[in-house]
Amino acid sequence: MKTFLLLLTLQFILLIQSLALSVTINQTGTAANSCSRSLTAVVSGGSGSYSYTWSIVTPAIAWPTTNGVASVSLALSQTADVNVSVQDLNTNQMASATVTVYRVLMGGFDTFIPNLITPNGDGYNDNWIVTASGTNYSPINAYSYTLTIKNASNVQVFAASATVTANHLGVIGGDIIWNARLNGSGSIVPTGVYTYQLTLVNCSQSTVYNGQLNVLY
Amino acid sequence: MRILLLTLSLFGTLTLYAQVDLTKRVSLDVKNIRLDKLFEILETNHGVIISFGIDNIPADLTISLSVKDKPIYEILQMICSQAGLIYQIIDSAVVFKYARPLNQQRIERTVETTKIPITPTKDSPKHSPLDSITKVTVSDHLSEQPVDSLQDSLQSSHQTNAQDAKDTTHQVINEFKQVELPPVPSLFSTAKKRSRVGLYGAGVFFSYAVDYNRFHFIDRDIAFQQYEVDWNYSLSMGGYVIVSSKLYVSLGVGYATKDFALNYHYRVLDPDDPFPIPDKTKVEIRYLEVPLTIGYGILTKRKYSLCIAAGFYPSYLVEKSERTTYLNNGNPSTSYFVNANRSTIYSGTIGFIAHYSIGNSCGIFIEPGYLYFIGAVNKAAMQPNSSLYRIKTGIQFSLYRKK
Repeated sequence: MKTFLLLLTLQFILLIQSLALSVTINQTGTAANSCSRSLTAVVSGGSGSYSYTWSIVTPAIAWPTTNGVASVSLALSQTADVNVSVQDLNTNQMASATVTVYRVLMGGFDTFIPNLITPNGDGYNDNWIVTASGTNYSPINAYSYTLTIKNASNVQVFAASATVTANHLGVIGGDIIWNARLNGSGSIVPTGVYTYQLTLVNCSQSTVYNGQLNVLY
Repeated sequence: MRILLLTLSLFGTLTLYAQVDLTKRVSLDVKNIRLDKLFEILETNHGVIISFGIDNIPADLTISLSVKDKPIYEILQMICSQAGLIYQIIDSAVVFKYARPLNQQRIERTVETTKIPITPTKDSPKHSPLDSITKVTVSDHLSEQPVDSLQDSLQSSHQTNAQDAKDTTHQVINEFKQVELPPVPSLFSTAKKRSRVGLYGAGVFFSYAVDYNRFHFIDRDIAFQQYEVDWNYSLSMGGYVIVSSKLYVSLGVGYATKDFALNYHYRVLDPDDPFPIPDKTKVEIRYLEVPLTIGYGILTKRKYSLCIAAGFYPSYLVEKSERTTYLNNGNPSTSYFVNANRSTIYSGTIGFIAHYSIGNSCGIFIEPGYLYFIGAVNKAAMQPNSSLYRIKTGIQFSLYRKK
């Protein structure tokens, strides 16, 4: 009798557990230099047989890719809240979850590239700094850059490059900087006309900016 | 330019200079053609070189002629008949007067032509000059005594061979001299023969011009720094003389600008930098131009004329200044370019002058032209091969006209 009651209790507990359907979204590929975000719906409870419905909640845009599957891959041009709704095909129980998916870096670059610096130590225009177009330190829509600067004799005086993986923002204003010193640590270069070549890369394009930079002080 | 070539015109008079044998026989067949077009045909098709000016002649006046193998003087009689003209012999020219002259007192000698067949046909009987002229009158107040009437001369020519007729015609032409011409509004009107050079008229002009500059600037080391030049202008005045029926010479003085600017196009992260960051340097240059121009009339109508003109413009620097503006603060008095202006520049010009008479001694004109600088205006900024397009407008006053 005791054994029977124990089995009955255990079966009841299992039944309760099978009825509690829940879902979470696992997101990968969130780095700035990742050109797609992968989402997987992780379901618990239920009978083990489910249907999946993905949608974009905010902003109100249509689902851009395959639906009805547990895992999807997104390359959104704008950050969005993505929802997945899961239904147990046997019990018709439903569960949903929402996650923020950041845009991938694509499209044109947003830059302000100075053509004059005055490295005289007065705190104004002492460094050559590439910023966003509003001369602020916002993202410039690139995850990678390569920079070389040469003097009038075509001799390289500075070079730098980087690929940002730490966050989804990518390169922001101020990341690309030259302090007017030879190779970044030597003496301040003489006044004159220098040329720069800056290459910016994101998920949709790679653009080379060639220009002149006047150093005056 | 400044010259007004004017339609020569003796008020209400059509002046015809016949420089060929008037007994030359030609054939014509035209219908409802304007007088000037008819003379054009005579010149083009028959080598009858005629210069003429018309004033006070109805614009809608047309002529119809159908003649075959007629002497030129007979054709001219027919034209007189249809156009309602009368004519006189002046010096070496036949001068036609409109039948309704403005100033009857100026008529020195008149031969009226009436009853001339208007449109002779090929089948019509041949009309001699005598047939065409039924009345010849000579004014009583004539100061000069004609040897023969035109009627006599024409009759004589009709009765002799072609060489005789030619001789007679020349005789008549040469027997009437020193006839005073009425005053006319056109400068060229007193230049009786194209080939003669003399002083036929003189006057003054005032003009204003705008220049579309094509300065060739020297490339900057910094490519984003760029020169710019706005419209420059010039004011000038001077005098002119008419030296033949189609040629004039003018000389003037003018005040001309040759301004330009350099835009630095600097982009800086912090415009509050106390280090002066220039924005634009503007150079103002003023030259005293001495334009010497020679013009040649290529088209002359009653009130309009068109000349082609070539000139030489030495210019002398009279004023210069330079100011620089900054993105922040800086000394506006700079001297990057101002001391590189040439003190003297030379330029050549070629263009057209369209003139319109608005009175007896006044006219307006417009002169589009191209001006090429032999030397650079500013040695620090420009190359020697700079040029400009100039549109000049002005007014002209005639002060002297040869009687």
